[in-house]
Amino acid sequence: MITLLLILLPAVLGSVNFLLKGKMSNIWTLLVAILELSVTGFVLLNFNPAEGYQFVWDYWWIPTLGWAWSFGIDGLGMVMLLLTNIVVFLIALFNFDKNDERQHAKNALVLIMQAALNGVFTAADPILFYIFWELALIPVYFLSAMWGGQNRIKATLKFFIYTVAGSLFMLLALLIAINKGYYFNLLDGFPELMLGRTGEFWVFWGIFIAFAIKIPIFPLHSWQPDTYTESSTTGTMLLSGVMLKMGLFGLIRWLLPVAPHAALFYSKTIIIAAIVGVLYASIIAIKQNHIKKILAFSSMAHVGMIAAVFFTGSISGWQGGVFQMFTHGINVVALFLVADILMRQTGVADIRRMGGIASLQPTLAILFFILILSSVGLPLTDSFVGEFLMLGGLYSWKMWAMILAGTSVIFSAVYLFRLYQKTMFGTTSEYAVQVKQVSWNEYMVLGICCGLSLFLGIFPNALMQISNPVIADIVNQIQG
Amino acid sequence: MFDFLEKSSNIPIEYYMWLSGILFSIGVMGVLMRRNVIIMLMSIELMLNAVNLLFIAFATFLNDPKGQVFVFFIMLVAAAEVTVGLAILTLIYRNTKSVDIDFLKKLKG
Amino acid sequence: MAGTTALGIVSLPLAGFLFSGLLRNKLPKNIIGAVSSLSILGSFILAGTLLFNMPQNESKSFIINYFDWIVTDNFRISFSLQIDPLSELMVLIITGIGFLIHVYSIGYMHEDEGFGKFFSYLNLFVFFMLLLVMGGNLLVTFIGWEGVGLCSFLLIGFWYKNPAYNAAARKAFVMNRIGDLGLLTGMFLILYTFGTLNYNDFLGKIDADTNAILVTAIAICLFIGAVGKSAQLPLYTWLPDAMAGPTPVSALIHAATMVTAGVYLCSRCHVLFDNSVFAQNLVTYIGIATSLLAGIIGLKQSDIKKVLAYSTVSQLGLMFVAVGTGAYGVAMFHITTHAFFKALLFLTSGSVIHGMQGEQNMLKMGGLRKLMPVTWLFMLIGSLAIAGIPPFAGFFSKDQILAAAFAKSPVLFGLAFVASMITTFYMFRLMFLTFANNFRGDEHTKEHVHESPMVMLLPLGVLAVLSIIGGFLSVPEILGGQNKFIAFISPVVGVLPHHEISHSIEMMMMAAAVGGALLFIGLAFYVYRVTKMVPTDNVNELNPISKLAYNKFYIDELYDAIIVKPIKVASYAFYEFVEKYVIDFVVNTVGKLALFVGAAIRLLQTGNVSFYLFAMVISIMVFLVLQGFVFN
Repeated sequence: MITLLLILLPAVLGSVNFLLKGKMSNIWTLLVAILELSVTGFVLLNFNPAEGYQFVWDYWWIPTLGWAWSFGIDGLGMVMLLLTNIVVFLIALFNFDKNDERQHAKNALVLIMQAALNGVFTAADPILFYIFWELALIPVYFLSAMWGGQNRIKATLKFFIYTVAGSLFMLLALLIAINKGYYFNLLDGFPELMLGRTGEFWVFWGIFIAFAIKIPIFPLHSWQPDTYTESSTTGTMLLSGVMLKMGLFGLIRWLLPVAPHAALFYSKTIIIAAIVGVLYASIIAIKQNHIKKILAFSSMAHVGMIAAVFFTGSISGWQGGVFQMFTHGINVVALFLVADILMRQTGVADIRRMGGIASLQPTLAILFFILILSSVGLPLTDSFVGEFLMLGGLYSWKMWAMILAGTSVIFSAVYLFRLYQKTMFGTTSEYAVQVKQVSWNEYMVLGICCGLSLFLGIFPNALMQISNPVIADIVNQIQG
Repeated sequence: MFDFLEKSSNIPIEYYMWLSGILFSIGVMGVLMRRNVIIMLMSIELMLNAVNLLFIAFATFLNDPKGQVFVFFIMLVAAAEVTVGLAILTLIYRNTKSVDIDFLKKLKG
Repeated sequence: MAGTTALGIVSLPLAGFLFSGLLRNKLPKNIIGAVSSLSILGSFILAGTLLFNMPQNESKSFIINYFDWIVTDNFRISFSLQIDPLSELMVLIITGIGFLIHVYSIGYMHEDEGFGKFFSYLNLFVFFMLLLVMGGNLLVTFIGWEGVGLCSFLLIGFWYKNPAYNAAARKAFVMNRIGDLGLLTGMFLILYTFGTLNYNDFLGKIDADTNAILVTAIAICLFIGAVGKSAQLPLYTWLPDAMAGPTPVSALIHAATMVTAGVYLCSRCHVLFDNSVFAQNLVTYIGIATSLLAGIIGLKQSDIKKVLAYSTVSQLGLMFVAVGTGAYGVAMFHITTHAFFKALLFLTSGSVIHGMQGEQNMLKMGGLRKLMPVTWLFMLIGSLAIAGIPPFAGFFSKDQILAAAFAKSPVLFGLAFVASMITTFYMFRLMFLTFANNFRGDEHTKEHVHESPMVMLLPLGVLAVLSIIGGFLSVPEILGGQNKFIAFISPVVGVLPHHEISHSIEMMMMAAAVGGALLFIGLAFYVYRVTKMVPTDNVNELNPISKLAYNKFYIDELYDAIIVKPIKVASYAFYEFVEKYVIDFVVNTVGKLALFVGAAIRLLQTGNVSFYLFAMVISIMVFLVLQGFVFN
């Protein structure tokens, strides 16, 4: 029941936004986001990590086809729900003082997106999962296409078609799995499908393509830099903060349990592709000058490593990967916020034209620096914990994988510090002198993100204890 | 007079099939090759009648009235179709002042 | 009890950091400076109280687990601090010298508008450094390890308006990170083999029976981390560039504390090296090579801080030679004495620079002895200490390194001896060029040259005294002492390897070292004081070897060519070619394919009704044929 509430609440209340205007809709959205966050908090307080699925809602939809309305929250879902609802809250807070054209539509889209995302993370029936997966694409498309940079139409069209094409493969694969194998629903426990070799091959690749495009994994990534750059900041935050986590979530929730043998067989290829992607993105980021592009490639590098770790079969690696999904979501939202502030206030996006902002805006400089440190993975920030566990997981698979992925740690220092130094240090450029005080709500968002980053860096268990038991369960069952 | 009926029911069924086939082919050729819309409509009528003939022949041959019932349906549909077709033809003529089908190319993709 | 003290030691600098950082624009400079310095002094006093309560249990260490930090199903790492003689020693050095440098900085940075920021960064650095040495497991050490790298970055690039300084800061951080990758690999090797990162746990499990390849691999990985942090070949080029930071930074971070972290780590994990001859040899060779290379480069530098930077690299090399020969206690002893006199040297050079209104080029100095006599005296003490003249501190520690080297191989001793002589020569070259003869700068500067204020001279004085008497902490047996220092830390680092050298040979070595040093002092005296030679600043007049040394053997340029440029080219190539023409090529082709097929099929839509009818007829015929003849 509560699960359904989590999904319907933002959808219904969000649509009310279409009746409001401008600042009113901002206030309304923020209230809805806070309400949703409180519901999530309530769920969290009553949550028991040791049990499996809780807060279950399970009713038949089309019995003959085997489709059901099944929702449930387990440890993994809980972490993702937390991420989604916190990110949307931060976005609502960020948008609080903005009044762009059709602001009410933007807010409504954000809340509808939240509903769809909550659905993705709690769906326990494969077709239901697919429906919410596709549903989540629509608000983001509009958020990217209606507000954004110059080339946004071309970029978002490419993004949309690319993603939908991948999703169609997934639909096909899921249907094969349901019909050829046996109907499965996650609430009934681990799906042990006897698909046979060819069956598993097709199912695995079909589902994997959809997730690989979403995450993205090299070489299916070419939609990502342009989309992240040209989309509006709200759209990018949703895309990079939560939506791509859908792909990673799908890997461990749907792909590996459904086709474990195929996953094992192809794990080497996929891990190599992912690590190549990590290095590739890191190297490209070194010479980029558009602030959003740097962050886009940085994001790709980080999540590539998470994707690689999920194919290693190491429990601590997985637990680190899930933790990193959360931390990366928060960090990237904050970083794109800073990018937005810088771009808006200086009027340029090229970091070579910025410079010396630290002397004008010391508080912004400090908060930005903490976020950069978190991205770089300095110990005592949350990213370090995730990165450490993931590298450990890679090491336990093969040492060379760990070393290769580890070089991304060096590269990230190069391009992230270059970004920071070019924008914040150096002499104050002619564009940079226009930088004014950052508004209170944006400070709050940055402050929350920095605080979370440091808190989780020192006490990662606060989050990890939620997801650890479930992850261990899943890994053990996959290997069994 | 009655031996006329007898003699006619002794006509082998192949003759009817051949006749029907030739009439049908002539109708198809007409539809495909003629440019005048009126001729095309008449050719369609010809095709329908050829089929009618065949149905009746088989109804007699197999002593099954279902064929004849079907002919009624066909004649009904033919009548309706000719009505609508001629109405469209009239409007086309009013708009393009010709009944040449090659002038109706606005749906080119 | 020890737990709270340890926590206190670590927390005071952190509190100081927050205090200075948050209130830096609101309180007067002297208060900020005083509070920051006192927080370090507080840590020093707390550490002092621990000194008299050293653990006497079996492992000779107190380990305090504060809370579980990272818990997964495979392992559990807690946040723990460890108090034993080794960490106690490092804490005393860090907080003691740190305190002196803080006091000095109150004077040195007085004019700077980033005064509060400076002190907050310094405090943060001390916090991380304390975590590094007090960590009870490798991961807590790693927090400190990376943290000091961060503070180094912040402090090198302290005057951030200058892009060159920013580049130097980034270079330092990135090079550190390369070493850190090695350290991480080592950590995983340990974690997944022994299931724990706690020092006492995994070190205890290593003995002669453990897999030799594994032990060697772990040792080398940890050493790679040390190479990055302690500026050895090939990851040393960041240290001379780091001189872009304010002089107190160079003194604290790049002489006394951060760069010694590598030696500390190797000493703590010495069991690994004891059981791997290959690793020990590697450490020794890299140490001596670095020492010689840096020394030669230092001979030809004209920036006073750069000479000291190369001298630091060189001395660190000697420390690693000690580590490589198994004399960990001696390495730690040299860390201590080196901290005294190198900090003294850097801070006095800071005095000189301060007095010279920011001029760092020795070619423009000279004759400062009469203008800044106290500074001259202190620098002389430091130089004598580093040259190894008894009874100054450097003599005792360096001599034991030479003895350890000799025990390993006479060739090694010879090379170390040469390195020491080179050190003596360039240090006194520095002395004479800066203080002797006549002033070579312009009149305007000469008028403003002044002695430093008391707040700067007092810490110098303390350091000078330490440089004189510090050596007596550990007088070797043959001179009648009891080696107290070595005895103090031997529970952690093990006893010194048994020397096969007889007493007479050792006395001869000592005499040779002292004699050689005096000889080279005399040589420097002759060249720079008597003949009053001044090195040219025109590169073309140098002979080829000097030119090589002056240009740092072109190693920076080499790295640029084989690492930095290719990556930049790769970055450009990846983005412009691979992204656009290879990957997008495939994706766009798919799109174009869709358009192409659409265009082809569109040809069927002729608009010609006759054609449509024809197509219908043909299709029906095909269906009928298929139905009738093909599908029975």
